[in-house]
Amino acid sequence: MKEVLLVFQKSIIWNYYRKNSLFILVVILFSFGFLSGQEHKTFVKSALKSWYILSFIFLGWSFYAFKTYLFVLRTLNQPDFWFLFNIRLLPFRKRIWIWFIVQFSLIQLTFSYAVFMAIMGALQMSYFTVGAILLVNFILIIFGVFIFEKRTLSHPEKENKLTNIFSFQLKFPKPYLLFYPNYLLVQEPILLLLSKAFSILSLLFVIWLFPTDEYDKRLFGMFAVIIAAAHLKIVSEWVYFKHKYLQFYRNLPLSFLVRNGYVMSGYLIIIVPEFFIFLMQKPIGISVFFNFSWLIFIISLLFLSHQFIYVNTISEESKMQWYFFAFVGLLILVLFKIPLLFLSVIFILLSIFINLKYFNSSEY
Amino acid sequence: MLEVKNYLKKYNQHLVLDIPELSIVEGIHWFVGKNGSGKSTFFKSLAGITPFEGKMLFRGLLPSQKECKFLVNYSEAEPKYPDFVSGKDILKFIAYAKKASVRQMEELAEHFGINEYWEQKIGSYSSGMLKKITLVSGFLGNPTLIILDEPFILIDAASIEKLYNKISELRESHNVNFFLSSHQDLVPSKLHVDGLYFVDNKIIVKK
Repeated sequence: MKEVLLVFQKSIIWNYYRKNSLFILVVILFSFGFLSGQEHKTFVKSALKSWYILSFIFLGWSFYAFKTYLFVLRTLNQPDFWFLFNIRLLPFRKRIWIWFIVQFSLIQLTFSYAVFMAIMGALQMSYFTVGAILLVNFILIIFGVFIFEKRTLSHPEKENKLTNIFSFQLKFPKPYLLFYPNYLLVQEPILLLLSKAFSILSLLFVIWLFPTDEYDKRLFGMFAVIIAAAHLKIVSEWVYFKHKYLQFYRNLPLSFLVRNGYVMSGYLIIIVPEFFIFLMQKPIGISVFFNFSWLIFIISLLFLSHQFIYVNTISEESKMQWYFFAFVGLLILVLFKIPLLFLSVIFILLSIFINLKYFNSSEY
Repeated sequence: MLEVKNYLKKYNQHLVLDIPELSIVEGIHWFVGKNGSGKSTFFKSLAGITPFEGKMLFRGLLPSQKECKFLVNYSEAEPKYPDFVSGKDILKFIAYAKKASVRQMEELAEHFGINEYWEQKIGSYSSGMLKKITLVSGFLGNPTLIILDEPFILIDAASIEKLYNKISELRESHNVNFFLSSHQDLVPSKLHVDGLYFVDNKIIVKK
């Protein structure tokens, strides 16, 4: 039983939190960024006294629970997870217990707030309201258990009505250019979050540092190198993504310009948050030309790192050394006031050379 | 049509295929071999997806050349696409690259019945639905060789029938060549197969 539960934990629960980490973070930041602890207490006290406010809270919890139901159903629709249908082999009570744990774990975001509300209610002796809060949460769990049980008792390939009803959200066309940024958002949110957090914090640090002394623009150049380095895993993940999900890509008769134009435009999209912050927060005296050079410099670095992955004559271990020495070398070049735009041109030319020489012979 | 000389393919020093010489003329050709025999590797090499050692020329063109990729289409045996895009998104991109018209794409989608679901996210597809997407991708553009890797697995009998019709139609009306593969020994009686090849023991031999 413990082993089976572990399988569901890894396949559904961890997967859910991994894929929704950005969403959950945004919800937490939104909830606790706007309201202080004291304000939350006041809000809950008002809600406990008003069925009108309480009904909106219940509605919010229901929406969240619905999101979790859809996640589980979509997971079960994927052939990679069809092994989960073997839960049918377990006795009814064990199946129900597993789905109960799964659903209970998935609604922890709202359930923990419900517990907070229930404690507040108990302290105020609003036992009827506390009962309603607990009952709503229990119903949301049981409803999940019911639909998951029903789904796993049917054939894995059977179309699911609930996910089909909500297929409207699937009908927005996605151009190829957005495939990878979307992959990062949906499949690798933690990687995106960590890389962006490091990169943006570095940028904010240099923006804060700049006016404190007589620094010059080289400081921004050096931090551009750090920002590019923060994206190295995102770069390698792109090559992996193409290899795993877009095998047909190499069969496409795309010109050299189009193929590499996609790569550079993809990095432009990925680096938009940093560039936006840079434009908004940059100190006075930074020219438009420097803004442009700074952006091109980061993109050319990412482009070069991307092409470098295709070099199949250097081992992975050696590549790490190359990255390290390139990082140090770049910082020195920037310190010696080599113009960023000049360096960018060199990097782009080098990238083109590597691409022409290694792209067709490379293998992931 | 296809000339292969001293073809060699290894994965991590493990030799998968070693073809000293092979020449294939126009027509519909059937490649049979057990799982892991190297059929897909050979097909992917010809489609410009997998690099290899040696020489392979399709109508005098290297598989890595852009011109060759217009002529050779490849449909994967077990396709894997991102879950969060729709089948239509994938096909639109392939159609754009292969210079296929929207009309051709929509006709193919209707023929194989994928237009009923191709706007939904791939994550909600069954393996058969996914297989039909890759089959349609194989027909996009104006290819002279269509490689269909394990085309008859995962799809239902009605779709197999439609596939037979499409292959026969394109062979007769547009003289399109086909490389089809199977890990089973069955050769479809409904198709006029011009060549039968066995992929085994790291080589490809014609029967």
